[in-house]
Amino acid sequence: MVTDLYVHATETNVDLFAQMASALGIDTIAAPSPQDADPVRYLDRVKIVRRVDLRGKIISALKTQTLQNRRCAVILAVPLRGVNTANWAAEDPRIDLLTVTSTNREHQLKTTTAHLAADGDTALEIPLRPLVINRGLDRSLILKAFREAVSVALSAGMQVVISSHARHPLEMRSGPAIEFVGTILELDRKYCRDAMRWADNRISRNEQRLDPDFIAPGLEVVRRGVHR
Amino acid sequence: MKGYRKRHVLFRLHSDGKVTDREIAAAIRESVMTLFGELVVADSRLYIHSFDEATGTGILQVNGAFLEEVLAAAALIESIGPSRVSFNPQRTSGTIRSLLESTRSQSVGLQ
Repeated sequence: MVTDLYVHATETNVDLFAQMASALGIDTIAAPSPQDADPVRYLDRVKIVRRVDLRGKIISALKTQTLQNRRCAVILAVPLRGVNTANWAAEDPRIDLLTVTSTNREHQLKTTTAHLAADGDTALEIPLRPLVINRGLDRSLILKAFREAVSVALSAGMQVVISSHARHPLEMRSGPAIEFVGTILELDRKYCRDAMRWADNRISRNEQRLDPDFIAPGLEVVRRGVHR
Repeated sequence: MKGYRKRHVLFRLHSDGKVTDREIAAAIRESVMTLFGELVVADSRLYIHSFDEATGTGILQVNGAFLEEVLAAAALIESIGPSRVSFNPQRTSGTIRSLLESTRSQSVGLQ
């Protein structure tokens, strides 16, 4: 199963992304669908799941957004910004991804955050698009930041995933292409294949959590009683 | 000079315009050059064996020691000329014959 955990599709072009995903052999894509759309739907035999990027700058804002979205989004991601928010997201089992969004040293993955994320099974997400659209020194700086983040994550046992962050269908990359790009981030090809399996498993797990009868892992409402 | 092990890669180039085999080779070389430098370009011995413009399917030949570098660089190509592209490596093999045999069952039209 090949999974791309973020494409920047809108309702007007999501069908083009689905066609491209189908041509590239991608089975599942995560996209920021509108609130009224199904969190899981199919287009061109490609599964499209809703992803929400939490944008709060303080922990209380992130908590509020998590509560609002946990029952209607399959993937919840938090960008790596401040240490406090990153540490909170790393520990919280409802948060799936910590995304590297900047080359700023203040926004890099810290070892403490990586250890918390490894314990909470939150993955580090490396976006492919900055590597595709930039050239020269800009790309060198991005590569340096990504390689450092991957190194910190791997040494702490934190899962790393690569997603396209495509804003155009032709910015998407196939599973084998992502495996080869992973090699320049010091991720071997088998690790990248396993990372896609991790992403697929995470989506399956989170789909179960969307069920209104779900309470906690292993605990669900089997039959509802009648109020007397 | 020490011999090298050739690897052949079946690829599909998705694009929104027409692209020729020469343009693909030049774009991959340029990407390898910016990512890994002149030495890797020189030693990679990159060569587009065939490319079907209609289907976007082709075979490239590369020094096996630099296979990962070349395909990583190819995957990071955003555009060739005015056309946006997405490079998709599909299968790798030691010989073109075994590559064609393995793809014949998939009915891929290659010259």
